[in-house]
Amino acid sequence: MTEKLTTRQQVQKREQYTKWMNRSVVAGCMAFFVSMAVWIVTDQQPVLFAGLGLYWLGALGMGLGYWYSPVSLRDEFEQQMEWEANQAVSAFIAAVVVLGFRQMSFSAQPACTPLLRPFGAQSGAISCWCSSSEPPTGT
Amino acid sequence: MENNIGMYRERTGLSQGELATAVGVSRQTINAVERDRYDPSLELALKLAVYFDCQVEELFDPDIKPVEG
Repeated sequence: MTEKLTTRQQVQKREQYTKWMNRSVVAGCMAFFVSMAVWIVTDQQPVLFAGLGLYWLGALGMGLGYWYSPVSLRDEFEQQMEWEANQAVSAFIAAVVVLGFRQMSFSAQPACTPLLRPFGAQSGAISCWCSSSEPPTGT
Repeated sequence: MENNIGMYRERTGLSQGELATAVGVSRQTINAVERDRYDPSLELALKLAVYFDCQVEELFDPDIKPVEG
């Protein structure tokens, strides 16, 4: 679309494409939940896969809306809010990953360090030692 | 940044939604600008000034101290 849109047309297009995208996602999610309910009742696995396919079709519809929209789907204030939300979520994920790894290394190191002696344990014994408080019996 | 957009809008008898449609943004954006929660881009500030037929300085008061030379 190359013609110059007026601001009113831009707003209308934005609302129109947003509405289509939301409907696409909602239809996909609904199809998945309905297929899951049908699968529980009928125990027919293809129904579940069909629902999953419809769910992804809904997601694809949302992507197509983003891709083919002639106007930006969010105005500058919404873009800034989205950016700030992304920052907050990224910081949260980074904190969880870093603290999670640190927690994992602190809890795993004391129990497993003695087991890393190359000739101290028999084959297959390391995993037993890490998950159990008792030493391996060798059998 | 303080602004007089609410005053100009009420003077012209527009709702926030009508002004938002006129300048191509959402109603929430106009609301956020009026409440000093969001500083608009230069493009939006110029659009608002053109719409109200005034200078940008009349709409916005950035409270910037003059640079001493």
